[in-house]
Amino acid sequence: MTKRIGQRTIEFASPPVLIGHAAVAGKKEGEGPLGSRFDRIEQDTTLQEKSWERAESRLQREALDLALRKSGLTPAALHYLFAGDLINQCIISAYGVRGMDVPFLGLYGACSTMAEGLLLAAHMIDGGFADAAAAVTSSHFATAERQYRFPLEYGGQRPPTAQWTVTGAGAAVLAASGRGPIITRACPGKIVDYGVRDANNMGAAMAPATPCKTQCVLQMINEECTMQNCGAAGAADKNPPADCSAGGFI
Amino acid sequence: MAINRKQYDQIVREKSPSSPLGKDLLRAFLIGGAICALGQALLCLWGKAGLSQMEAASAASGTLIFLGALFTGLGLFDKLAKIAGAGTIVPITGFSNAIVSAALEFKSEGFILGMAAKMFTVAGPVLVFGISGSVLYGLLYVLLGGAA
Repeated sequence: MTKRIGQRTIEFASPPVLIGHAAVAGKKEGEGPLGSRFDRIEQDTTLQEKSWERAESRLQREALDLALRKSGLTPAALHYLFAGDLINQCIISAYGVRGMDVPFLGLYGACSTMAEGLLLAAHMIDGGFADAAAAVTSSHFATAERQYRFPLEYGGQRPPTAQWTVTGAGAAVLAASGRGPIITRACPGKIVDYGVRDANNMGAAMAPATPCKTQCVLQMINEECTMQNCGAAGAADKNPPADCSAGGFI
Repeated sequence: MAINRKQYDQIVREKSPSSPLGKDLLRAFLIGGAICALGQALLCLWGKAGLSQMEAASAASGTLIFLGALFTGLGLFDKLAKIAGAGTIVPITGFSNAIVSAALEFKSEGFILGMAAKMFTVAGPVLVFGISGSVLYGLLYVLLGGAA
């Protein structure tokens, strides 16, 4: 039983099943192209809480509760909970899931937290250490602005490369068996630093770290390579990018 | 094909859309100019109200600071600034906004250690370098005999 199939890619022997998932988002996100896909859209992004941080914790809890309900499990059935957010000490997650009484493993992977949570939860289940585990993450525009940028009412002008931090939370419940999509392989990314210093151009800073050959990502930027022909582009390099074709883009 | 930092930086530069400089400059000029014209009008009004030239200048600045703070509190300043850019930051209204927006933001962390302590997170550098600069200028002025 070979579980490691590449330099970075692993294959799960008994692929964990994603038996339930949920996404809760804010008003602006609800108005976007993915709007109809969200389980719940909060029109008031304060969620009537005293602080933005409390509101984000609520979002995370709502997403997890919904995912559990859809998967037909109770919190007691979860052997592990992988959760993370963008705020200091992952405080949003800690407050979001307190009272659930589930073994908690806090994560910080910034934009990759959800993928990281799924990867680790899948490891736990495939390894036989858990029957069911959940991965949760969240972000909130207002908490992220305070943490990384300027006060909300500050009169700054954003350059066109600036991005909007999503107000929303997502949760997925994985189990050893059941109905739903399965996770067959996983490929974690590496730290790839091309020295981008512009805090308003996070896309440029993060793009090279995608679990694929950096060259391919660069070609994508150059519009010569799309996600679909990513593997082919690597093959042309006479150096089959096993990780790229197996792991793909997250 | 290995890509080094320089080449990547080049690609990022080429692919990143740049700010619409002409539009930004024009808007900053118009809105910033309007704020300055308002300042001049306030100066005249305070003068008419019986203040001396010096007093009227301070009162006009004070009024602009108040308006900057008020509009920040009403949640309108950042909406205007999104269009105006440097037009609202450069006049004294920008300084007012920098302090009030930080005060509002950190209110949730407490009145003393939140609001009061973090009020200057954005405007702090302006104060540090502004005050240091003026002290240095004053010293040079005296040393070079300008005060005599």
